[in-house]
This record gives sequence, structure tokens and C-alpha cells, in this order.
Amino acid sequence: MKDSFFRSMTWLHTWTGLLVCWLLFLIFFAGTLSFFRHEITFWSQPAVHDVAPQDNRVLAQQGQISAALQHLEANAVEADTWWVGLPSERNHVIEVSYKDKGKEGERGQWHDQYMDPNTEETLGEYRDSHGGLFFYRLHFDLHYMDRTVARWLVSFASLFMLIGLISGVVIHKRIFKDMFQFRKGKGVRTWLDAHNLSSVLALPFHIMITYTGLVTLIFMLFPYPAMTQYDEGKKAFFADLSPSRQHADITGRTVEMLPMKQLVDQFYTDWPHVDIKRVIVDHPSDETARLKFYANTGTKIQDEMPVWVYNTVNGELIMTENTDFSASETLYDSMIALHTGRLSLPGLRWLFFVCGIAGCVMIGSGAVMWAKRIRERMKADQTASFGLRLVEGLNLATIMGLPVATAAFFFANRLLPDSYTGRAEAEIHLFFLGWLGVALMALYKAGTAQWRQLAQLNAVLWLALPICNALTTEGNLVSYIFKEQWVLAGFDILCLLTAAVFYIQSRKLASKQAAKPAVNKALKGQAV
Amino acid sequence: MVISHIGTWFKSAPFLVCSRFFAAIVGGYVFSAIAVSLLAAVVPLPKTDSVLLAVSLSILVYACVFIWVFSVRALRKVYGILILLGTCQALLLAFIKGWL
Repeated sequence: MKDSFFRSMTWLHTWTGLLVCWLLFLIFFAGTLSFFRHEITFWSQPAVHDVAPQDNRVLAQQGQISAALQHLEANAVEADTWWVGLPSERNHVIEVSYKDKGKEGERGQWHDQYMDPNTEETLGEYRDSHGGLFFYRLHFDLHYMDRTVARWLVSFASLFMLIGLISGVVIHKRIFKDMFQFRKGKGVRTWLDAHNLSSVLALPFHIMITYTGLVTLIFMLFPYPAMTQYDEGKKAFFADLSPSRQHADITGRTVEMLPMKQLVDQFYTDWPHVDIKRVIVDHPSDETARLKFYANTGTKIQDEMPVWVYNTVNGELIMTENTDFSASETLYDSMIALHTGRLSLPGLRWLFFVCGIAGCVMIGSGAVMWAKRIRERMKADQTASFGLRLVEGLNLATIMGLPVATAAFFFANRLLPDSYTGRAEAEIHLFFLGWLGVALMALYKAGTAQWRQLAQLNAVLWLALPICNALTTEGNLVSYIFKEQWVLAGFDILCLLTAAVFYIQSRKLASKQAAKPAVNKALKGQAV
Repeated sequence: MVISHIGTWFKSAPFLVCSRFFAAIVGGYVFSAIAVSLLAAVVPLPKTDSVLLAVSLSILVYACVFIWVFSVRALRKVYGILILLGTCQALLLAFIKGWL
């Protein structure tokens, strides 16, 4: 019985893993980058690179909120929603946005502007780019497809990941030993060691991130408890859980709102020391108008922000929410918070990032190992099956293609002219074009030579990125270090490190190619 | 002749594998959906709390059922237990909710 359980788990691990590994690699890759979502967005907006962060961030907020809301009072009277994002530890500027009243059945358009937190003047020349938001969305909404379909696909892959992790732990006879074992240059053994090492070292992270990832989509996956507990279904549950999220429809009857400055001052008289993350006005000047203050949760393991909701006509506090949680709410909310990692200080954020990369290595090495094993077992005169060639092609396309695509995305951000219409979308198209190019090459042929060429291409691209950045913006790595702009310096250093890793890889592959010309010849013969 | 042909097809490896995956993915999903709905109905907590607790545990239930489906040798036993336990839980849920 024990033996059969072990064998069934080995089988399950191999096949669930292989079926979804490429989609999972994309999810892990984009998700890992998303831990630095705000930093990537910051990098993609050179106009704000030199906006100085403030020493007394929280103290300055009262004036900033007033200024931003007054700007909206003056410029967006007819809007459906006003939205103000305050500077945080990771974002230096004030975001001032408003949403139009949409036409019948349509959603209104958002208009975004940005303010210098020091001078409270609006910043021009904001670049039309999604920045880090692209990777964040790609991570669970994919692209070029319906969101709901994408989310079900991502959930399916994540479920298989979870199954792969559990079965992976079962088939591990020596989990502790694997932590210290890496046998270099031993073919499939080396890949197995890489797979084990990256899995075992970051196992708590892998399990946590997969489980909590599924929990973020849980009301799509398992709406049934909410549906059975509430006769009116999921909506009634959300209305009960979070009344502050409920939007009354615009009635069209206008009211005279109190001046925003007065409302803000009143909030600060009652709650003087709160660190505010965002301020929203729903339906300004309508009788349903509400002013909401959201507090920054900082480093707390909490995702839902505490919120204060005010009536804008008489300045009455209507409700506060998310200030204390029940045990179930804490369980649920802390899982979301762990997944998004918004809580973390830079050190922990880097740990998340490194663990995410370990996840990519785990998935990638597993996929490569499968193909290597089949190749090793093949007899000399056997030709590779279509399945094997497909797996090899997809491995190469995914593992080496995504870095190429990402580099293309960053180059597009620096090189496309600001006036280009549909610029943000064009950046994304270039990401996928870059990937498509690699994929076509990989599916045509995926031997050692192709791996080496793509490693070289990646090395060149990632080395060129900081250079391109230095040529197209005011700053460069040296000036970043002198001005202590660590986010930008970190970005460049990471690019150079990536380039170095790919260079080393290409050298290794070259020596491998040189060492086994005969074998390669045989492999080439089979691949054709 | 035809019947015996179909009979062997039902015992073929591809069919058994697909059937097992079906039991794990679809059967496990339906089973977990019923189980967590029942859990939400029976825990003595306010409604929102019981729902949040149930959904937070739903993936755990699903994953365990999934693994269990692959660990049991006899496929018939898998289907039998899933259907029997699932129906019992659904009946209990319907009884508690007063749908019957």
C-alpha cells in the first residue's frame, strides 16, 4: 500500500506538473515582478524620478489631501468619482484622478494626474505606460483574453501547483538531505538537484503563495458558502461584510457639499495621527455623495484598509470599518495580505522576490528535467517524438522567452515617443511580439545551440537596458548612487546581474557544445 | 461483440486515467463545494464569519480530496465514497436550510 501510494504520487507529480508548468512559469514570473510593482511603475515614469521624498510624510498629508481635493473641486465638478492617492513609502507623488459619469450601461473613463508632494503643483508629461501594473494584471488576468476565463485558467494551474507541491513532498524520501545537496555537472541529476533545492528551500513560501493565491480568487472559485448562507446570494454577503463598499446609484439630485478643506480639517481634528493612503469621493455634488478616508496599513498583516465614511453635506461620520476584525475575518484577510506582500519592508520584500525566483527555477527545472529524462532513455537511432519536441520547444520559449519579452517591454517604455497614441498598449504588444519571436524560433528548433543563442540575446538585451536608460533619461547608475536613489539604482543593478547570469549560462552552454560535438550532431540529426 | 469491445475500452489505461482526473477535478470540486457550504451552515458564528471561515478552508478540503482520489487504488471505491458522502452532506445541508 505504501509503495503504491508513493508511486501514484510520483505519477501525479510528474503529470500535473508537466500539464501546467508553462502557464505556471508565466504566473510565477509575472507575480515575482509584481512584488516590485510600484518600483517598476516608478522606473517607467522618468518625469518623477527627481521628485524628492518627504521627511515628514504623514504630517504633510492634511495639506496634500486638501490641495488635491480642491484641485478636483475646481476641475472635475461633473465627475462620478474623485480619487486621491497619497505618497507612501514606495510612491513619492500624489495621484489625483477622477472618473467620468459613464453613458448608459458603460463605465466612465478615468483621468489621471499627478502632483508634486512638496509644491502641490500638478506634474505634466506623465508617460502613458502601465509599468508594474502590467505584470500585476498579467499575473492573474493574462492578456488578450476574457478576464473570467483567464482567472479560471490561472486558478486551475494554481490548483495543480498545490497538488504538485503536496505530492512533491510525499515523494521526497530525504527532504532534509536535499537542502544541502547540489551535484554539479551530472546531467539529469544536476537538474533534479536544482529542482529539489529550489523547491525545498522555499517550500513554505511556495505553499503559502499558492494557497493564498487561490484564496484571492476564492469568491469566484467557491461562492457556494456565501450563496447558501444568503438567500440573495453573493452580493448580499458582500453588502453584509463591507457596507462601506456599497455604492448607491447616482440619483441626479444635486446638493451643496461642504468645502472639501473644511471636511478634511474636521477629519484631522478627530483623528490627528492617521497615516492616510487614499481619499475617495463617491458621486460628488449628488445627494449620495460620500467622502472616504482609507488608512495605510503599513507593515501590519492586514489587507483591507481601515476606512472612515463621511456625509459631505453635514460632515457627519457615517461609519468606520476594518478597524477590528473577528477571527474569521483575520484568517481570510491575513491570507490576502500575505499574498500581496504589501505589508513588507524592503528586506522582506526582497526575500519574497528571491523566493519567487526560486519558484520559477523550481518550475523551469522540473520541466527541463522531464525532457532530459526522456532524451536520456532514448536509444541512439530513435527519433524524438512530437510530444518531446513540443515540450522542449515550450520549455525554451517560456524560460528564455519571458526575459526577452520583459526586456522588450522596458525598452519600449524608454524608446517609444511620448506622443505616440496608444502608447501603453503598444508597450504590451511589444512584450508579446518579443515573446512570439522567441517562441517561433524555439518551436522550430530547441537544441543546445538555440539555448545558447537566446542566453546571448538575453545577456545583450539586459546589459543594454541600463545603457539605454542612461541615454534616454537624465539619470544613470552612477548618478542614482550619488543621489541615493536606491530604487532606480537597484533596477539597473538587477538588469546587470541578469545580464551576467545569462552570460555565464551562454559560456556554460558553449563549453558543453564544444565538449560533446558528436552527441550534438546526433541530437541535431534527431531534431530535424 | 460490441459490448465486450466497450468493456475492454472501459478498462483501458487512458480511460482510467481520465476517469480518475475527472473524479479528482470535478468530483473533488463538487464535493468540496458541498462540504464547505455545510461547514458554513453548521459553525456557530455570525453569517459573514462562517462564510469567510468556510471559503478560507475550501482549497484545503479540495486539495485533500484531490490527493485522496489518487491515493486509493480502486476507482469504484473513489466514486462510491465521493457520491455517498457528498449526497449525505447535501441532504444534511438541505435539511438545515429547510429546502426539503
